Amino acid sequence: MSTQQILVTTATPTYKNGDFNLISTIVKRQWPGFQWFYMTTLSFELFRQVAEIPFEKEDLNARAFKLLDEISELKENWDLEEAPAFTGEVVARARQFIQSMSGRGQVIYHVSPGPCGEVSIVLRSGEKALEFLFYPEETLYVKVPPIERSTQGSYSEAIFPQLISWLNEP
Amino acid sequence: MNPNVPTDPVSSEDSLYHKTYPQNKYVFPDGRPTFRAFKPRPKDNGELSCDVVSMTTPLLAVTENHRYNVGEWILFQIPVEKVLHYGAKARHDPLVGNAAHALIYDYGADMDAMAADLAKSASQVPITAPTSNVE
Repeated sequence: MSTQQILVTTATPTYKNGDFNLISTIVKRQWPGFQWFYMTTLSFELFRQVAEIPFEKEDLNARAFKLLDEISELKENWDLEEAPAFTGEVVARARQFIQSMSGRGQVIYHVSPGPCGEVSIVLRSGEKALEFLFYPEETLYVKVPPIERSTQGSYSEAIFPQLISWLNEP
Repeated sequence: MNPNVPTDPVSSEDSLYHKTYPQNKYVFPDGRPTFRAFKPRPKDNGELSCDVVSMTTPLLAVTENHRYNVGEWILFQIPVEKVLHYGAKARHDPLVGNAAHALIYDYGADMDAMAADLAKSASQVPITAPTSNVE
């Protein structure tokens, strides 16, 4: 089906033998008034199988994964200032972090590349931000308050609750 | 270096331009610079390349010696007062062909925290493209 077409499917019980009528409508976007209808009858068992196809729910940090994928493809000197490319190990650690944020229900604000081979992942709450930096040799965090000076430290998963509390406190 | 151009501190009443490439990698979704935009490169020995606002224009700042294409760059501006407020310094560093060149230095031990503080004090500057192509 082309991107110019929309498939709308409805299923209604036949009330005879437990089967379902499956009506598919293809609406052509370029001809809004023109529709094609397809109708078929499925057995209850077949309908149950179709209906139970698990639809993959989009991850709440899908955009963060996409940005990380783009970063992983940057070549050396990507910023025209001799910035190094990103190692597979750095990208893997950043990906694992995004997965863990999704698992916690924590939305990531942004993922960006750094000039020293580091990946930056930022969480934000109002004007406060929390940055996680995945360098080849270490992982750091930076607490970024709106006006006061920022502070940085070495990151380990054990201090995440403390950091997220700081971010979310008014 | 031109001996007639000062190499002393940039006035605290002035501001600095800092350009980054490519456009979409150093900008948050709200248009502000990412905290990485003001981090010096490994080759820059802890100093960040800038231009003094009172000595140049946004267009000149991104087309230094006509080396760059305007549309590929993004330009940020930060008041020197903010640089000093967070504990870094700024000095003139004139180059052949770019007398406005300056450096932000003295980031301190916590360079990533300083980079974040500089970024949160900076704003994006619109660049007016010339009518003819600049390569």
